[in-house]
Amino acid sequence: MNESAHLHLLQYNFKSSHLLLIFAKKIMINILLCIMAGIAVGYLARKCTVVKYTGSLLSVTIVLLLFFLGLSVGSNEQVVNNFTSIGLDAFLLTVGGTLGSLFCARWVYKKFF
Amino acid sequence: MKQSFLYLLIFVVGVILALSGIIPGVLLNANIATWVLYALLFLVGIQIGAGKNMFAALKRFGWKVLMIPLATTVGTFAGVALISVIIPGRSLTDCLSVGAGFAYYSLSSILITEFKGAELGTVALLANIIREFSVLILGPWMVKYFGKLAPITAGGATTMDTTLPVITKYAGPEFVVIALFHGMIIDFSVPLWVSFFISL
Repeated sequence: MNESAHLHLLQYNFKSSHLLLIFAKKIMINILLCIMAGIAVGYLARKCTVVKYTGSLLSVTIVLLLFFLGLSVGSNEQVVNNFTSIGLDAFLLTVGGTLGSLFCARWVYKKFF
Repeated sequence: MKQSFLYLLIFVVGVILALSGIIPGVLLNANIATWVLYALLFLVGIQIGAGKNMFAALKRFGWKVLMIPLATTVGTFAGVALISVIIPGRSLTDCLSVGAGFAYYSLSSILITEFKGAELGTVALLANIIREFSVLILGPWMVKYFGKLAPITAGGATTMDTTLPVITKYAGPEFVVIALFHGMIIDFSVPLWVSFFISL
């Protein structure tokens, strides 16, 4: 690779990571805005009976999204072909996370309760 | 528990339909999922905003109840970070975003799929479902070896709904208020932590 091509690649990498950062910040802001708006509406409408249906509506959206997730998993060859290793990673991460929280629980229980 | 099975079933139906190839491509590439996701987050917000008794536990037990969600968070992240060292090909932040689901598998897997792809999303779905089931099945064992707070920290965001009966039964009814408080705090923190780790 000659020097100018190398420089070009560096610039390209810089730009794409920069764009990714902006994109990531936008995602976080969107997520936060949706939750904040929900909290405000929920707080204001906490005495309305309509709020009682939030749970059922939530289940509907979860069902829809998990169906979409299933579709994207089933149509993604990378996921289908590596399902065993994905399952193993998931299992290991659960063991790590759960054991970590169990040890912390034991410490807090002995120390404070 | 029934609900978890239903969710898992729907996910499997989606996988099978996609594998059989009868789903039109339009459905796969559409932005519908993103909009439904925003609706989901809005509804999660409404539940938090309209929820009561959030601070009942705080009044009864004092500041020390805050130690429990803290233990859940610190313990989970520490454990997941250790595992990320032995799993080849997964970055620390990817592993942490999976761990930050705290058994709230629907929200975490959906968020991760949307922004990090279906592969990591599937890891998140499986990992967090396994976490919920581990409390349902190993609850009594956790209490025996790690004390009465164990099923609460292990249950993560589910201690206000699916794993509450197990906690009530094996840790005792006096831990119900704590479990509710813990569940609400962790529930609220899931989208924040997950979106934080996926944006790193």
